[in-house]
Amino acid sequence: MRIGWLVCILASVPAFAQNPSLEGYWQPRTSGAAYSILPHPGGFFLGAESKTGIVEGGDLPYQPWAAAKVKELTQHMELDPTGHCHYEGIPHAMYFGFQIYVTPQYVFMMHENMHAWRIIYMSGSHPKDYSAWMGDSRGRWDGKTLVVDVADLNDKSVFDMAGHFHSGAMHVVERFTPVDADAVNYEATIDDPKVFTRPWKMSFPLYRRLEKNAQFLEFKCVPFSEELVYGHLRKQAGK
Amino acid sequence: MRCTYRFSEGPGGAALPGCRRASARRAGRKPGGRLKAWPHMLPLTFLLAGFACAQYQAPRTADGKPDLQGIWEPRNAAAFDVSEIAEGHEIPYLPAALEREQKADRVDPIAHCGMPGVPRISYMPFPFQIVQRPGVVVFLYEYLHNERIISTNPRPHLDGIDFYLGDSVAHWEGDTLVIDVTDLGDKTWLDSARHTHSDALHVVERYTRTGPNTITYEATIDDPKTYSHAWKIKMPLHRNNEPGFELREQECTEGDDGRAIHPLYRPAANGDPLEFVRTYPSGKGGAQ
Repeated sequence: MRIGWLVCILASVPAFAQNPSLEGYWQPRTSGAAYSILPHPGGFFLGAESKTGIVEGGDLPYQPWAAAKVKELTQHMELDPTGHCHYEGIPHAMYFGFQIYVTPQYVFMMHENMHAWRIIYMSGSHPKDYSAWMGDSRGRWDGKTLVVDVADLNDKSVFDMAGHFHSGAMHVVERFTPVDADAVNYEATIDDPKVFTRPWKMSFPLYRRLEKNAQFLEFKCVPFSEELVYGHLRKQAGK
Repeated sequence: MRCTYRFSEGPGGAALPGCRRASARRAGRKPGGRLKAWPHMLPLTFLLAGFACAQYQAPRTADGKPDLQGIWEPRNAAAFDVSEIAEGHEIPYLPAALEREQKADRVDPIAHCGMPGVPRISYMPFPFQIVQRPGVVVFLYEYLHNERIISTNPRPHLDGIDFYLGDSVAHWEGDTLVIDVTDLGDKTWLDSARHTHSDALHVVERYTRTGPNTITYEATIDDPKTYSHAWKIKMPLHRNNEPGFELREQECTEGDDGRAIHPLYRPAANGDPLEFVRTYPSGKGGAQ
């Protein structure tokens, strides 16, 4: 038992020493993924540019029934759970700025958006009978790459506002690979045999925030969202 | 009047004798019990005093600061009525502030899944994890996945802005982590018993390791628009030592009946409204 611990500690120390570069404030460049992870035209609140999205190959391998469901969901942006202040889930939460702290036992990721935080455990296994928006994350080092296995994800989170969805069987493997001192490549492999015909990948770069006063502040979702989602009801009631 | 913890509606009014009695009972102060018991307790008292004098030396982080890291939880009912942990169990309200409170909204903001604010987040009956990096202390709260990332390098407070959890700036005073919190706004309550504050609230929190499994938490609460003078709260924080215990996702959604729903917790079998039981398998949970 004690030798096991020793091996664990010795094994994690070199990996930890190699990887301080993941610590810091990161700003993803997601080519409009929060609106749609697939290529899409620009629009009023999306900025004028058309965007490429983040899906490798530019297409999603939906099963026929799922492709039909996406067409329907695309018409109902109001169903987007993030508009109701739910966690975005994984990988959706990764489209927004966040901060990383690395320790031998844990990697902490703190997002400003939805004040979401995630503890990536560098040991242990996924709990059974657990289901959550952000799932359960277990990490390991593959050289300089942080590999995170995410399971226990619920079926309520979505990939974007355009109706791209998954089931509760989704399994995500994320890879955070430093490209240079100030850039990290984020890649997620999405496996969900209930919705897709094969696993598929998304990727986008994370850029280090270089401002001296970089700091994430508070995301006031409830007041903001109440106005956005229910504001029109309040005004009518006042008439 | 019952001092139940309802996410939907706190008991009306600020003067809550029923709740205060309940809190006192919970804290183990039985009327008349103290006088009878004390001669027997004398040797124990000296023993405890001896321990207290030999000041506890907290383990250090790599950069030489007291190590506060781990999973901690308050074990009290202050989130229902903060006077339980207030010095003298009294809150020095200004008469005008009491009047303001009577006229205000009667629904506890956390019933709408609002963030509980500081200091309430510190005594919400849910575990939280402290993480330290050089120059930074991070609080990850299981309750509504609240987070505070606090620099221990001095900087001025942000101006002209308010947050539910305020703007926190920390420094070390000896072995004590001192967090100065302003910009708190007036949207949060101190507890379900409708103890409120104004946007002039200024909180100074103090975290001191007092043993391998305890932190003493103290906070000075100042708000010249609400209280006649600054007042103090104090409570122990206990380390959660359950093997394999990990923080989980603690969501909140508004239920159809106007009560907040916390999917990972359900009321305790004994019917005590102040107790929650975690519904996921690994561990009974720290909310007691």
